Formats: sequence, structure tokens, C-alpha cells
Amino acid sequence: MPGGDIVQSVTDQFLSKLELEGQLPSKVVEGMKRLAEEGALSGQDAIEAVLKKEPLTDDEAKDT
Amino acid sequence: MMKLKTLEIKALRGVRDWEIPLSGRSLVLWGENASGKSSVVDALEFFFTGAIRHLVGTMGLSVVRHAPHVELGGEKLRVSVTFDPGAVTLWRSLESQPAVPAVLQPLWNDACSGAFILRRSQLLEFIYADPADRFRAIASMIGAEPLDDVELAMMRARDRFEGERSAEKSERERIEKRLQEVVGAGPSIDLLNREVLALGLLPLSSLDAVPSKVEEWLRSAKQSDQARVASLQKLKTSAEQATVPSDLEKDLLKYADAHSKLLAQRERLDRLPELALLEHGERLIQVSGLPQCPLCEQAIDPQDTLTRIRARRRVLHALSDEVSDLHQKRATLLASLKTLEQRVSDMQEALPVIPDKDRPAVQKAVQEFRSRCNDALGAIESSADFTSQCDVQPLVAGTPAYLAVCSKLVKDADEQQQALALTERDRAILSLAQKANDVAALTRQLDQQTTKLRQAEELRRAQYVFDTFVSCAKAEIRRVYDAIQADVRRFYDILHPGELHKDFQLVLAEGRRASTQLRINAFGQPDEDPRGFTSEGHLDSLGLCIFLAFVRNFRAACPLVVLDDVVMSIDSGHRGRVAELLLTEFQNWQLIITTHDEIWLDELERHQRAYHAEGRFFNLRIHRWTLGEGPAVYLYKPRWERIQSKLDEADKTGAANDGRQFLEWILMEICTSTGAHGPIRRNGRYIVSDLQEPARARLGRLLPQLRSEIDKLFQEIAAAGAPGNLLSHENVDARSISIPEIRRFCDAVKALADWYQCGCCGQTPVYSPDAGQICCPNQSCKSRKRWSTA
Repeated sequence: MPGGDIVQSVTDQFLSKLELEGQLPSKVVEGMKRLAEEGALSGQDAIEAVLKKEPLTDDEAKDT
Repeated sequence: MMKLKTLEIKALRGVRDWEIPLSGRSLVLWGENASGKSSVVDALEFFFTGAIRHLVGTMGLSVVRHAPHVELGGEKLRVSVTFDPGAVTLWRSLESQPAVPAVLQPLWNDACSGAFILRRSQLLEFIYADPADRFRAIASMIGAEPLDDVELAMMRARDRFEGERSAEKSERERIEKRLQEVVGAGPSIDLLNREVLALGLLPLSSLDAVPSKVEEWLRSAKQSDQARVASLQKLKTSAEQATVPSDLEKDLLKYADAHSKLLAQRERLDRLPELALLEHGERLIQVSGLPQCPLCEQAIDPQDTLTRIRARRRVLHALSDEVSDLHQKRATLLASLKTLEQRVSDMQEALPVIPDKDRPAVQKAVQEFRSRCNDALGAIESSADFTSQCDVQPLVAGTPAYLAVCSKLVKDADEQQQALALTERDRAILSLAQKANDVAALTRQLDQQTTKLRQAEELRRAQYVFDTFVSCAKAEIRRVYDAIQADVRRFYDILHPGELHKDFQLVLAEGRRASTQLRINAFGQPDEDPRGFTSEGHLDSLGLCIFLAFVRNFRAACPLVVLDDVVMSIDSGHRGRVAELLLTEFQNWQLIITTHDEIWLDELERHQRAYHAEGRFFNLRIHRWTLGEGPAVYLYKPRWERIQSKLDEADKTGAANDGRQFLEWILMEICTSTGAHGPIRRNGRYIVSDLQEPARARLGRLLPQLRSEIDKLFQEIAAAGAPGNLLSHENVDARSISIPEIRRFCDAVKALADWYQCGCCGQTPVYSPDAGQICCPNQSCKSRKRWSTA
């Protein structure tokens, strides 16, 4: 079976890519994982809340 | 592997009470239109999904009202299935659903979406669907629908952050423009210092030094009038700055209008929070397939409810988009109004310089405008709640009078400055001081706005999250498509060997969300849309191949495939190949095939024999249907057995008709398989007289060594042929024809068929010019018929 549970497979790949690439603060990655566990990745408000979760650290602010 | 042992249908559609003893075998069900054969498909769909596709989504139709038998009613409706091994029996009625045990759960999970059923109407629907609908159809088949919901939510989150950033960007651009108007294009400090040095003053080291330097410069200007001149200059500049931006009035009115239109839909706005509930409800019903509302546990028709939920979601999503758009406009307007209000306030501070007699009226006018500004700010801020109209009219109405006041203030201040008779140098210093103050203030604002923009971290995160998710989803779906393509291509090659359409592809459109295109190599041209190059029959068979490939790859836990009348536009030659495809590629599946096409039925039966699969099939014919009795069935008999039965029952017309059809069929087989030349009929319907001589002549030429045998077979048919002609054309002379005469005719046809067809597997031999032979095409045949040709 080429797909298996395709939603689970895509979600797993997505979360591990977020984690591996390290482009987001760890709290945001954790928030995304929590949304995935709760089946809430399709909630716009929940996603926005996670993305706003952590203010920039000084280092991040410098980088941007 | 779990299969269906029995299917029992009670009071559903055209069936009163019917138990079909499948015993794990596939079912081929033949019947005329409206004979009740599709009721079997409906029963299976209802049993596994709780819905019947063609009874949902159309106004006025519903499973509850239209699935029950019209005489028996919904209370008696019940579909039971016994599964083997284990003899587990489950049943569904309108009120209750099957209690699925763990052992059947994998099968149930794959079957409960109903994606194992293909109806004729769905074939072309899929091919002709637009890329987005096709993607949705595939997503439903592979269980990827939730991915689209996630992608949409992430996209909306990104767009929202983008809207906020866009408002901040506009504000930055406005400040930059204003700065350029004040000091010109280029580094502000250099531009200011050029003027400073020209006046012989000490230059600025930075903009932070502006306040102390300005004080120093003013001291060098004419002492007596210095304060008043500075005040007049301040008034003049602040009055110039406090004018209303040209687009603001228009934007205010547009916003109020859009807000008013949304407010008129207040009841629907109140339902926006239902979006999340609808999304959860949809998923719950899809996953569980329960015929009950997840909230109140009332009985529902799941398919009907899903259709209605999706329609409501579409409406609410559109409304949500409008609200988001308005929110973005509100943010921009609020920023502009706050700036305006601040400038009016700055101007008020400069008003005391106005002569006493004029001051109260000006102060009153400016204060009134500022109040209107604040009222509009309040109205726009509170408009987010959609509780009342957003009234910006007083501000818009008061703007012309206010602008006239500003304009007069600028003019008066200028005239008064002139009257003070300052020297040119003094005036230049005062003007420079004002300019330096403005530049310093605007630069501070610009820095603040730039910092805000640099900190638009949410947007970067949202874009990154969206891109990452989309790339993962696309990669996975592309992997699925690649795997499916191999099967589709193989299946299509079985149906259309050697034809000039190949390399079928499912293409996930780049740069477009949720979109799938079909591509094929047609007549040597790659990447073509198959709809542009192939017949309807080819498109039907392509649709069938795609369906079968998806089912085989994604529904492996449910080895059930239902094909409801799907070969109608496929010609008789290709129907045989469809039978071959099903017999060779779906050996371990339980097929439920309905048809009203007798040729297809015979092809299936013939291929069952050819592939030694008779024991795996249960062939039924529905010969009559009445409301009172439902379908009346008997076991399928091969053509020759049917003729024999009719002869035994002295059914002269029936036997002669069947004999004539048998003759037409075998002649067509000979002509097609040997490439015989005959007349061309545009309707594709050939009769005996079109085929008989071309078939005889072609065989005679290819097999000269057997010519006398061939001639003898055809002569016997010609000699005994009268009954077939007379009886099948309702001729009055037919009454005198006896049963032995008809038997002789039928025997002659059978003799030709037996002589030509493979004696081992029953397949029709095919002429191969390259091999120089006529040979049985069945590779698995144990004793293939073979003649060398001339």
C-alpha cells in the first residue's frame, strides 16, 4: 500500500522537518506537535496562537 | 481475507426480500433496466456507508424517504451481511448501524467511505472534472481530505499576518514620502547640513542633536520677534501637515459601506464560530460513518448531512474571507486616523499665536473636527463587533470646512511672518529650525516602523510553516501518484494493447493548491490532456483503470470492488479485455458486477472458463421484476445451454433468435480476430449477411489446407439458415418451421463455433501475421488451438 495513513504520514514528516531544520523557536514546534496530537492543525486561530506564542529572543531579533 | 458470505436485502429500493448466497465468490448480475440489479449496489453502499450516493445532494431526495421499498416502508428496511471466515453477521437499518467487531475493523475502515463502488455516471465525471474537483475525488479515495483543510488553515493564518504587515508597510511608505517632501531625497542629515552651512551655522552631528542645535540657531535670529516668528512657523507647518490625506474620505466611505453590508448578514456572522464545529462534525461523521448526529444523537443520513455541512462550510468560509478583508482595511484606517488625530492635536498646540479676535472660532472648528476624528476612530474600532453601523459620515461631512480652516491658517501665518519684517536670513533660520524638527520627528517614526517591520516574525513563521507543510503533502501525494501510475499504465495496456496512447500520468499542478491534471502520450505527443485525443470509450476505460488502480492500492483491507454498469461506452472487443483485466489482476478480490449488456455477460462467463475461475463466480440473470415480488432470478447459463433449454421447451422463436445471435457473434469474432474485410456500418451493428461471406473467404485464404472443412461448415449453416431468418423477423411462414429444423440450424452454428474456438479454454483464436498462425491468445491455456496460415 503506497499511502498507508497518508494524513499521519504527512503530519509526521512535517513535524520532523520543523524540528530538524530548526528554523522555528522550540516552543512553536512544540505547539505544532500539540495541535497535531489534538487533531487541531486545521484550526486557523489555533495555528495563529502557536505562531505568536514566543516573542523574539534578542539573538533572533538581531538576526532578523 | 475477509469476504462476503451472504448478502440479505430487505425492503430496500426494488427489493422486498432477497438473500444472495455469495460464499466469498464474485457476483455477476445481469438484468434489463429497472430490473432491480442496481438495488444490490445500493444495498451494499447503504450497508457500509449508511448512504446511497444518488439519493443525496439533490433537493427533494433522501435515503430516509427514498431508500425503503415503496410498499414496505422504512421500518422494514434492513441489509445484513455475513462475512467469512468467522461467519460474522452485521446489519444496518435506518435506525441502527452495524456494531463492527475488531476483527472487521480494518475492512470497515476502508469500506465505510464507499470508495470501492464505481458507477457508470462517475467515470466521465472524474475524467471531465476540473483539476480541483479531481483532486478532491482522489483525496477522498486515498483519505487525504484532511490535508487540504490543514493547508487552507495555514494559508489563512499566513494571509492574516501578511495583511497586518501590509498595513505597517503602507504606513512606513507614507512616512518616507513625507520625509522626502520635507527634506528631499537622500540622507536627511546631509541635506539639512547643506542648508545649515549655507546660513553660516554650526552643522548637526546627528538628528539626536536637533533640539539643542535649533535652540542655538534661533538665538542667532532676530531676538525681539524670535518667539512669535517661531510660533507662526510652527502653526504654518502643523497646519500644512494636519490636512486630510486625499484617499482617506473615499476609504472611510468604502469601509462603512462594506461593514454595513456585512452587518446586514448579522445572523450569518454570528454563525462564523460554527466553522470549527462543522469541520470537527464533518470529520467525525466521515470517520465514524455513524447515522447519528454527533451532538444530539438524532438519526441522520450521513451522506446527506456531509453534503449539507460542506455547503455551509463553503458559505461560511466566503463570509469569513470578507470579514478578514474588512479587518485588514480597519487596521489601515485606524493607523491613518490616529496619525491625523495626532497632527490635529499638534496643530491645536500652535493655535495660541493666532490673534485673540480670531482664535476662539478657529479653536472651535479645529476641536470639532478633532472630536469627529475621535468619534470615527471609536466607531471604526467598535465596528469589529458588528453590533451597530459604523458611522463615519460626520467626519467626512466636516472635512471640507476643516480643510478650509487649515488652508486659511497657512495663509495667515505666512502673511503675519512677512509683516514682522524679518530679514531673509532670519526667515531662513526659522524655516530651517522647523524643518530640522520635522525631520527629526519623522525619522523617529520611520525607525519605529522599520523596527516593527523587521519584527514581522509571525509572518516569517507562518510562511515557513505553510511552505513546509505543502512541500511534505505534495511529496507524499506525488509518491502516491507515482505508485498508482504504474498500475494505471499496466491496466490501460491490457485494455488497449499496441494503441498509440500511453505513459499516463497524474500530475500535481505546481503553484496551485489542491489540483490534479491528467496527462498522456497521445500519438507520440507527450504531456497531452487525454480528453483532447481519445474517444469517450477510451476515456471511460481510462477512468476505470484509475479507479481500479486506486482501489487496489488503497483499499487492500476491503477486497471488494463494485462495478455498476461501467462498460456501456466500451466497444465489444475491449469489453473482453476488461474481463481479462478483472480476471487476471483481481483474482483475490470479490467483484460485484452488474450489467444489462448480454455480450459483456457472455464475455465474463467465457473468461471465467478461460482462466479456470468458474468456481470463484456466481452468475445470475434477473429475468423479471415486479413491485410485488422484486427481482426474479435464475442462474446464468452459457449461450448454448440457453438454446438447448429453449429447444427442449419448444420455444421456437426464442431458440431461433438465440441461434441467430450466436451466429452473428461467432462470425463477428472470426472477422475481428482474422482481420476480415467486410462492409462498414456506421452504427457498428452487423447482421449475418454482412459477415458470413467475409468470414468464410478470409478463413479460406488463411487456411487453404482446411478449405473443404471450412466450406462444409458454412454450407451447412446456409442450408439450415432459414429458421434463423424467418423466426427472428416475425415472418408468417415461420409457423410451418419445425423444432428439428431449428435444431439443425443451431447445431450448424455450434459446429462452426466449436471448430473455431479453443477447445481447451473457449477463447477465440487470433491471427498473427508475424507468427504466421491463428492461435488461442490465452497464455495460461493448457492446450492452445493453433493453425499455421498460408
